[in-house]
Amino acid sequence: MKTCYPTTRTAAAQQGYSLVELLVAISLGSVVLVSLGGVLLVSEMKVSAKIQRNLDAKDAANRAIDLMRREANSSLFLTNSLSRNESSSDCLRTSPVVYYQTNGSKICYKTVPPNWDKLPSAYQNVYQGPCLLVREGPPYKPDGEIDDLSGSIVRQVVLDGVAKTKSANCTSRSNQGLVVAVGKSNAPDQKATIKISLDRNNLDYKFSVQKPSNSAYDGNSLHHDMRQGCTISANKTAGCGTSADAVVSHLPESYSSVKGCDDVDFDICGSPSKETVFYFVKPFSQYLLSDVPGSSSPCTYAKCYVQKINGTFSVRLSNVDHLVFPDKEIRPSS
Amino acid sequence: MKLISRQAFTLFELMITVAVIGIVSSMVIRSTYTFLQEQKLRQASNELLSYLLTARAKALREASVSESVSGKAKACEVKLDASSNTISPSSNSAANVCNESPPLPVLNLLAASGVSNLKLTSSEGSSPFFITFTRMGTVASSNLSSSQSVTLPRIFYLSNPDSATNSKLQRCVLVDLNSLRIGWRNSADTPCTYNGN
Repeated sequence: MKTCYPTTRTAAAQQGYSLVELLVAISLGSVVLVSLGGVLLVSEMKVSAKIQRNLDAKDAANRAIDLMRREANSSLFLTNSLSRNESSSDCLRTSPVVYYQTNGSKICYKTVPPNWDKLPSAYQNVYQGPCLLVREGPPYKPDGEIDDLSGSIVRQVVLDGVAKTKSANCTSRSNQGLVVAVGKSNAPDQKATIKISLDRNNLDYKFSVQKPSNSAYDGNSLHHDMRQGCTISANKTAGCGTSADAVVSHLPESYSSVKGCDDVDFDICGSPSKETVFYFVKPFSQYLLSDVPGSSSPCTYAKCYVQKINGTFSVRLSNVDHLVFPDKEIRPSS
Repeated sequence: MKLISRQAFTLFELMITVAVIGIVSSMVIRSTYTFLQEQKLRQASNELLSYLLTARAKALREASVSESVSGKAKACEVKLDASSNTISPSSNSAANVCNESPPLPVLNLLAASGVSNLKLTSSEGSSPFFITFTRMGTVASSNLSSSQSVTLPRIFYLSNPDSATNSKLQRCVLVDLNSLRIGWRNSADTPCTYNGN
């Protein structure tokens, strides 16, 4: 039997690597390793930076929404439709996303491109867009209150990176890049009835009806009305028909000034497909919820008097989704 | 045994080699020094941004539940002093939550970053600069310490006037109503490029 042995290596192979070969090999290996490490490191840094940017963006968006929500809660009404009397305002001309009014001052939010020529020059090259959410209104004082007495109006960017709309236009009126919804879509199944009693002291009463959270909302039925004194006529049932928007849209024209009236009833048409929210002027602490006289059911959101503590102003509500006061929202308990 | 003849380097070759190594080393050392100084400048701007974020968080956390003597909500006001390169809570207001116990510590940007020389300027006003965060986390358009209005956005520029590096790089810290951002620019004549929102 023949025993197999490994073949004898050549003399050259037995010499091993020279120092130069080792140095070259080490150098090449180092270059490859450093390159790979660098690529991985850069990739990791990019991912990390992207995550951080996303977190920062979400944080900024949350603060922007929180700011708008605070202002909405302290506002008398909000709308995103043009008002007849304020059509000259640039705030309304350039497609506001949402529009508030607090103590007579206007606060407007709208989306604009980063190079919008009405932004202060200091904003040049600061934000990238594609759209910016801009707040236009009175500035904030250090105590967090709106400085609505100075009369100054500032334009300030609240949020960067707001997406473009389908029409690729930041200022398009159909802009849905940012939708702020207050309240929930819990629509009444019948028309909401408000009974308003006004005293003779020229009490201001302001309210709004809005449908922001329903997908069918067309953005046009949001309405506000402001009256000085008792200016509400009793003839308000004519508009209640099949169209839910009809009453809302014709409210301003239909009211006539009736000075000195004490007790006025009128209807606002509700719709099963839309949400109705009522805003009240004073903070919630200045109102009382009282049982409707003669009602056997306990006081709920829908069957109550909303009565101002110091004064004779009261509102009787029925079949209403919920009430929104400047500092509190009342929803049905059941 | 076969003798192998070996040639050594000549003096000229050695001198050339040493000269090349010297030139390359000086370039590497200089660029490394510049890089390190710019990193320290970056660190200074990061420290400033971090301090402002802390102040904003403190205003959000504490100013909303605090009431000042006058019944108004408090705020957090910090003072940025370019002469001493420090940022600290302002001490001249009773409504400053950042000055309440435990107050925000004084931050020395030089010590925190290790930069050899720091020049701090602003897009508006002169040192000391005041920044006031409201209870909502927004930057107020006026300060607790003075009734003068503040134009937003406000940009703070940090540079290192070090003749050894000759670097014109500047770091930018943007203070706006709802955002604090950090960026850079290559010279005082160019606009800043900011990181993502």
